[in-house]
Amino acid sequence: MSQIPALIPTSLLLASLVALLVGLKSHRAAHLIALAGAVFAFVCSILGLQAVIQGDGEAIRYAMGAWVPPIGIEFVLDSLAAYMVTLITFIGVMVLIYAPRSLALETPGRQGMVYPSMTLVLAGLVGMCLTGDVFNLYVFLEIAALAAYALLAIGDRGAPVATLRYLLFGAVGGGFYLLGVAYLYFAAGTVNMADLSMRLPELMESRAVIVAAVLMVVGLGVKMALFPFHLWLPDVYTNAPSVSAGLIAPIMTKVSAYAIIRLFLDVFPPGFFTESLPIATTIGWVSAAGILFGSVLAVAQHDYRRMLAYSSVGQLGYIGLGIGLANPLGMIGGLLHILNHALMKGLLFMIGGAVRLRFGTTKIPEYVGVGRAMPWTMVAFTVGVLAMVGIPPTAGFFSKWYLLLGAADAGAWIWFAVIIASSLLSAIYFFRVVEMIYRDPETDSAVADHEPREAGEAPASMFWPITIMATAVMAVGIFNVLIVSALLERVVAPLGG
Amino acid sequence: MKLTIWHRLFGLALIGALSLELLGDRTTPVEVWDYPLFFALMGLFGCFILSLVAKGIVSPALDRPEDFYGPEDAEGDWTSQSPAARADARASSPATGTASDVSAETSGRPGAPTEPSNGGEG
Amino acid sequence: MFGAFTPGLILIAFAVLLPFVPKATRSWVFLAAPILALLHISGFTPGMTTSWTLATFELTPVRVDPLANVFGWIFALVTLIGGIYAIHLKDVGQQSSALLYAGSALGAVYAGDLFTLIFFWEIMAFASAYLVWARRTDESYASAMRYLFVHIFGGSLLLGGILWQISETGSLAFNTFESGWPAWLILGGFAVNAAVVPFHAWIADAYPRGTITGSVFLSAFTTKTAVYTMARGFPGWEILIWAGLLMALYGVTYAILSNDIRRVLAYHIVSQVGFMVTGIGIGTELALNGATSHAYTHILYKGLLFMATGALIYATGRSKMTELGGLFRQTPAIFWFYMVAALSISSAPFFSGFISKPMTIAGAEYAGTPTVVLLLHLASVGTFLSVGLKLPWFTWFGSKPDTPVTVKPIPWNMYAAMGIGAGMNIVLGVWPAPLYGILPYEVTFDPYELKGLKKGFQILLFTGLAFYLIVDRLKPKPKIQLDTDWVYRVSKDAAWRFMVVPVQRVFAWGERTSWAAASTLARLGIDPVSVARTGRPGPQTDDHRSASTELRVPMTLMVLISAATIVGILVVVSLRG
Repeated sequence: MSQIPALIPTSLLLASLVALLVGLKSHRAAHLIALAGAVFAFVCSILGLQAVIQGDGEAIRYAMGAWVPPIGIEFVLDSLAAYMVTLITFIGVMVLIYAPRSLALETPGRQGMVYPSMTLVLAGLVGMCLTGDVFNLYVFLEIAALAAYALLAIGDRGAPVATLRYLLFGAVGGGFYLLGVAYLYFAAGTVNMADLSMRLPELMESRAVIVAAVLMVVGLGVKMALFPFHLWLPDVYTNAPSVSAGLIAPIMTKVSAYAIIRLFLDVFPPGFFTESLPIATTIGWVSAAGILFGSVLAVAQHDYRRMLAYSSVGQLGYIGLGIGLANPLGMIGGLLHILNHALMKGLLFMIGGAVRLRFGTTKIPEYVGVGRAMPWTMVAFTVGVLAMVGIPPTAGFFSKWYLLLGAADAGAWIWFAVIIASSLLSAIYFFRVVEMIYRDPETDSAVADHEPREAGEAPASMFWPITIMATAVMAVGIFNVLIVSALLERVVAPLGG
Repeated sequence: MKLTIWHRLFGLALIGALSLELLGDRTTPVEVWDYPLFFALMGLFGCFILSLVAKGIVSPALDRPEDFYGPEDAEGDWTSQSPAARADARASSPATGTASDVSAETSGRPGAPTEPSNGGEG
Repeated sequence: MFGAFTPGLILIAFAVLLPFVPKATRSWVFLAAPILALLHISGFTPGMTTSWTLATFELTPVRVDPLANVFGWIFALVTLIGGIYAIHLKDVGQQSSALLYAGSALGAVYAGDLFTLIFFWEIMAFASAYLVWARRTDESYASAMRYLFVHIFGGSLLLGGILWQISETGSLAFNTFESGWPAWLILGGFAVNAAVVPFHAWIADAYPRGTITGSVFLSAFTTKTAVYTMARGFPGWEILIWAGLLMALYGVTYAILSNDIRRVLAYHIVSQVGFMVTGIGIGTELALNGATSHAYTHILYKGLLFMATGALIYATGRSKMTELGGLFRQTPAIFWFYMVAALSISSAPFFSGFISKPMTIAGAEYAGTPTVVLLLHLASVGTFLSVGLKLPWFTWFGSKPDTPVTVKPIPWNMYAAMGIGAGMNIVLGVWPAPLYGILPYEVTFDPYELKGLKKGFQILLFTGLAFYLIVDRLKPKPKIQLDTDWVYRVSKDAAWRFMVVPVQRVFAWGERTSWAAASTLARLGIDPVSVARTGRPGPQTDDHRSASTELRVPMTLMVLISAATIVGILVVVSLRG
């Protein structure tokens, strides 16, 4: 049990290595290895989650190589980490099950490289969540980023350029973060999170610490696509293969948000992000701008994936707002939204890939008649849409509820209105798609003749992950409040909730 | 005007309603509706006033053709063909003669996936 | 039964299970849901509550009191009647959504806290939208979308208001609201669902376009749930008196003019709900009793009206008065059922409307507002005129339409349902005691006083006389009347161009400009020496790709961002240090 914090990332790293070697010979074997690794990691996460909940939130610590922290690097599985890791590995498993057919269509011949990259991304992300060391976080951040670049660059024609752009942004962002870590080390003499949290209170006024905080937040903000650093996101998500988008869109940016939250709650002293420097408020305001920006631009899009990309910019703003509110309810809302949005967006990207498989298109006007051809997939899509708009009992409703309550508590009425306006806008751009897919192709003379490539429902390997994700969206929604009470309330305790 | 039985019955009913005024307590009228015959007059003139306002003012100002917002083929069109069959008929009619029109209308889309509902009924 | 769980859950459970039931038995299984719900409700005693602690929230999913019970009974009953009416239906989507809709309405009515309320409120919007959408014509799709947007908008007002309220008062309890911003937002949310003018246009847009069986359900729940919540939250708020009067007269005027028979009924709902809203606004015990009993009987007779007109549409394939006429000989039964409902809605003595609507008017009388009383009476005249006289006359009598009507036989279950509805209307009309017994306040009102009978007969008969005299002036025309939905319907393109596109353009411009600026800077930076010498930027790249795809652009951007960040940090640090 105490091994779990180490088992999760190492199993994924191991799976990557083996899958890479095996993939030289057989794609299918690589797939199985990758899947096995992800499943193992997921099971470990679940066990870890259980242990943490039963242990009343007490963290499980594992010192790597038995080197004692703060010299050594330790991995910490506490409520927040367990929450994130379970989510990441779950998405990983789902996307890996979903992958083969989609990859065969969109990136044939490259599977031997894709599967190990996927597990590598997962390894990097879980590592980021589990590590108890700010420098180690950078290491895993880069691992995940590099693997992600590989996954994203193999998409459509615009993919390499878009990914290179992401790389440039990401490199600078990572660089800022690293610089911040360096400043922190100079000031505090340690990079271990727990140690920092003990030493920083005395150093709050020190310039080095202030600079470090700003640099780290800006760096992570770039990776999180915080407005206005989001410029890389739309092109990347639009051109990526469905599998990559399905894996990266739900979790990559979220983990950077997690990192900011971790810094906020557990590393820097309480009040640092709010009183000493108006970091939280700034994040809140740029997030509000990002929410409006993303929602409005999403309305104009004709490509399904681009619409989802702009929608993601908006939704990430919700998480940012949660951070910005800096009160327990708001933070809970933001954290909940990490989970909820990951599930919803993952589901929607996966469905996009399924439609592309059967209908050969990602343009919304050409989605006419999909509802008839793929009824069950479209039921899942409707669930996803209801969740994005925030209709109970889906997950989207509850994160909206907490965020709004947090905003009301803080008296942040503009942010309150922004959240409500954006859910109305979400309704507009998503219902457009719903309308398209359920239209009768015969009566619609405006549609170019679009024969389905292969008629029928999504294939089983895609169908089941989609269905499970849709069910999860509903189930997590219904159990959202339990998740809050069992996990999240402990997480936001430092805020004085 | 021919006085049918219906006319006579209606006239009797009117008289009967009026005669209800004669029954009942004779309290002094307080509000306007306590006055005798108030409700008869309200019925008669209320109807005139409402009709006048509706037909005389509202209608001329706000009337628009039924397809004002776009081709309103649905409102009022309750033929039992499903939209799919209708479209089929539309698609096949220019090319062939009347026989296939009839068959297109009644057969529905060939090989269509089993659609659980017939939109026109129920 | 077993504990007080909200009866709506029974219906929702059936809604989920229904797709798995074999097609042949589905309609019958459907009926089991409201029957079980009725049994459950019969076990309720006022004062029962169920509490639930969910994280930090104290929820009260079930709160039983007389006001809630009245609505609970009638909602379950009308689901049963509607279910019988729809036995012939094979569309599981409609059947499930109808149960989901009715179930969430029940859930909302028994909700003791605001969270439960909004939870079910939002579900109602979607479930009912499906019933409009299920018609599957282009118009119905569009209408269903508009319906959804209006209800999501109303739901957002409600959600915003509720959360504000929770934040201010710290309590989730759903009781009478104190005046204040949150309360107004909540009232706004309720008003949209209650079809308060000017938020009412969705009713006339959507209800006529729903399916034949679906509209019966539609007419029963959304507006009445809103009436319930208004009665609970805002009794005695004076603005409601005037809002209600506006609705009563506005609705009746449009009803007089409408051509599609279900559109007449839809506008008429606005009018009838206006009576209820006025009663809530008056707020005395008598007025509230009136509004509640009116809601109860309204569900019964409106449901019957929609059933009868639906049956007529089913039989003839037409729904416009300009295309109907002279059908009495072919559809006598439907006519008689319709007339029972029409007489009820007009408060004819011995029918259900007579024991309920006059109570509201009496409430206005005692509250000392003569204008209100007179206007309500005027609206009653209009009710009889539009629904009780004009519609049946031009549908079943009057001149026959140009193209002859073929009449299809109607399924037996429709007759059965209409019979039950008609029966209940008559029984309640002559024997109001069962309804009076469950009203929230003690009833001392007696509709069968001589005064009341006199009122009832005189108003109706003399309206009839007036109608007879001007019947030719009231001929239906194939026209619609502009209403407040013009604002968002006038042209989807115009609304789009006006509201969405400018904002979009601003943001898109912002994006493009940032790329373009970076691109220009990049070109300037390629060969600074030549720039200094010639004053012109360096060479363009050969291929004409857009600014955003050149690589130097993101590089430049990142340099800029980095520089800005560093400068920012320096500023921050120096200000503090």
